[in-house]
Amino acid sequence: MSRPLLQVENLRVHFPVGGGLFSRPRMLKAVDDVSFQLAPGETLGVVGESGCGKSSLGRAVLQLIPPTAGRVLWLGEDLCRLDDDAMNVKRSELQLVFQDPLASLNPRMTVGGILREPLYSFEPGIARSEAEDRAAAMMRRVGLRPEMMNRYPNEFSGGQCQRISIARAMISRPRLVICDEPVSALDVSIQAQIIALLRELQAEYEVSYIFISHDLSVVRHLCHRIMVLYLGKLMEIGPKRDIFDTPRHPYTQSLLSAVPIPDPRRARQRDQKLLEGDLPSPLNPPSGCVFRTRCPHATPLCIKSAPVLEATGSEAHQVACHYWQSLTPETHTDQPTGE
Amino acid sequence: MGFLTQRRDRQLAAMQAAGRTVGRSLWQDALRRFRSNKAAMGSVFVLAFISLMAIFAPMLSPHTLEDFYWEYILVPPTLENGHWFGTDANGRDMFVRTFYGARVSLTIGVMTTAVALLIGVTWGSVAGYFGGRIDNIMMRIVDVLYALPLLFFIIILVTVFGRNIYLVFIGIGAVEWLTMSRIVRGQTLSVKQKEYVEAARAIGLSNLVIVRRHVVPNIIGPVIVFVTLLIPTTILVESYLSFLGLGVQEPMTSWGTLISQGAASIDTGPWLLVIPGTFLAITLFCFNFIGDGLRDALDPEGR
Repeated sequence: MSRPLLQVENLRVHFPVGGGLFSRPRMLKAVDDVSFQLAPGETLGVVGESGCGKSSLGRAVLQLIPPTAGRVLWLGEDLCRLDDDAMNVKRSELQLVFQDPLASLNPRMTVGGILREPLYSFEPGIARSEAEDRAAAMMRRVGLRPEMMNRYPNEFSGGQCQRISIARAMISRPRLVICDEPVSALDVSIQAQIIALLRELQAEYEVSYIFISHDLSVVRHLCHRIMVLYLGKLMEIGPKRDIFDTPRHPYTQSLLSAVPIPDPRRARQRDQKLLEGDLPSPLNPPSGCVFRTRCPHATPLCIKSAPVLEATGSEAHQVACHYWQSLTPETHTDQPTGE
Repeated sequence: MGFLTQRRDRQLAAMQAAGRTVGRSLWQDALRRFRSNKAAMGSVFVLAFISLMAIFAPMLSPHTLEDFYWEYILVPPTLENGHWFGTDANGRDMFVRTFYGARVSLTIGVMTTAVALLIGVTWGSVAGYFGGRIDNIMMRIVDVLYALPLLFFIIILVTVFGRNIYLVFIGIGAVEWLTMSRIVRGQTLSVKQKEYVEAARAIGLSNLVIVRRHVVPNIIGPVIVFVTLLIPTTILVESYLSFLGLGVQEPMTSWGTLISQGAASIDTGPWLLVIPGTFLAITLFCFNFIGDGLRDALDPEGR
C-alpha cells in the first residue's frame, strides 16, 4: 500500500446522554476504538445497521463532531489537534456528501450561490467571474446545465440535488470525500447514475471516498475495501473480494446472506442466516463481544472477553471474533462479484 | 434602487449575450419578486406619501402646533377656511396635528421595531445556534427582563432621566426584542439541525458567517410576520404611555394621543377620531402588505 492519505487510530466518539442536575450523563459509545487506513484514490465502504456509528465515524474524521479520543492523521498530521482556523483551511481537502439531497442544500440560495460558496471560503479574494466560471464548469461536469445556476434547490429532482451536492463537495478539489449514504434516498435507476458519476470523478480527480452505506449491493459496485461496524466497533475489515467471498465474522456472514438475490430459484436454495433479536442499546452494550447477544456461535468466552482485531490469511483482511478460524467461511458463489 | 437594478439587468443581459451565465443572489431575486407584487408596491408608495407628508406638511403649513384659533372651535373639515381636517375643541388645526402625530407614531413604530429586530434576531440566533451554556445564560437574561413590567420600566427611566420621547423608544424597544429573540431562537434550533448547516461547516465557514448566511435567511418568514404585528403594537403602546403622561406631551402629539382624544369627543366632533384613525389604519394595512410581500419574495419555495 502506498503512503496512506488518512490514518485513523483508536478513534472514539462518545456522546453524553441525559443527565440532569443530580445524575451523571450516561455515555453513548457511537464509535468505539476504530482504526483504519485509507490510501489515495481508494474507496472504503463502511457498512452496518442503522445506529452502528457509521455517520458519527464520518463526521468525527472531518472534525464536525469532536472525537472523544484517538487520532485522525491526515498525511501524517493529527487533525484533532488543529485549532478551528487551521482545520477550516484543511477542509478544502476533506469534503462531505449527505444522505438527504434536498436538506443538504440551503433553500434560500441559488445553485450558483451554493457552488460558489466553497470557492469564496477556500480562496478568499477570488474574482466573482472566475468563481462563476468554475461553478458553471463544475455543473457541466456533474451533468447539469449551467443555465440552471439561478434556480433554487426546490426546483430540482432528488438526483439533480445530489449532483449539486456532489459538485459542491468536488469544487474545492478535495482529496477525500465522505459519502454518507449518498444514494439511499434515491430511486434505484438514479442510484446507478450517481454511483457512475462518483466513479468518474474518482478517476478524474484521484479522490478517495469513505462510502457509508447499509446497502451491500451499492458498496460492492464502488468500493475497494469494506469495513463492517456493529455497535460502534469494528467487526471485520478487508478487501472487497475477501469480504464478499470469504466473510469471516458471523455478523458479516449474516449481512451478506440478507442481500436480496434477483432470482427466486437461487434465492430459495440459499441458506439464509438471518439475525434474531434487535440491535442492543448502544447506551448499554453487551459485555465482552458486543455481537454475542445475536451471534449463533456465542460461547461463555464471548461474554467474558472482547475479541481483538486479528489478521486472517492475508494481512489486509482482519476480523474481530474469537472463533473466526473454526467458522467455515462459505463462499458466496451465488453472488455476482462486483465488476 | 430602481436605477441600480436596471443597470444590473442590463449587465446581466450583456453577459448572457456573451454566452455566460451570471449568478443572481437571493436578494436580487427577492427584489424582483417584491416589485411584481402589486399590493406590496402600492403600500410602499402610500407609506412613502404619508412619510413625506409627515416630514413636509407641518413645515409648509401656515399653522403650527401652538396656534389656537378661537374663532374656529370644533369646525368640521372643509376646504374654505384653510383648516382642511377641521379643528379640535381648543381650536387647533387638525391637519398639522395629524402630520405631527404621524412623525411621532411612524418614528416610534419603525425605530423601536428596528431596534427590536436587530437585537432580537442577533440575540436569538446566537443563543439558538451556539446552544448549551451560552444559550442558557442568554435566555435566562431574557426571562429576567420579561419579568420587568413595561410600565414600571418606563416610569423608572422617566424618573431618572426626565421626560423624553427617546426614553419611550428605548423602553418599548427594550421590551419588544425579548419576544423576538425567543421566536428567533426557536426557529434557529430547528434550522441548525439541517444538513445544509453542517455542509456550511464542512466548507470551513465561521460560525458567524453560518448564522448570517444560512440560519437567518431561513428563519425570516416568522420574523417578518412578527414585525408586521410589532409595528402597530408599538404605535398603540406609545398612545397609552402618552395617555398616562409618560410619552409625548402637549402641544406635541401622536396618532395614539389624537385617537384617544377623538374617542372622547366622538359625538361632538367625529372627525377628530375618524381622521387620525383612518391614517393609522391605512399605515398598518400598508405594513401588513409589505410584510406579506417581503415574506413571499424571500421564500423561493413559494413561487
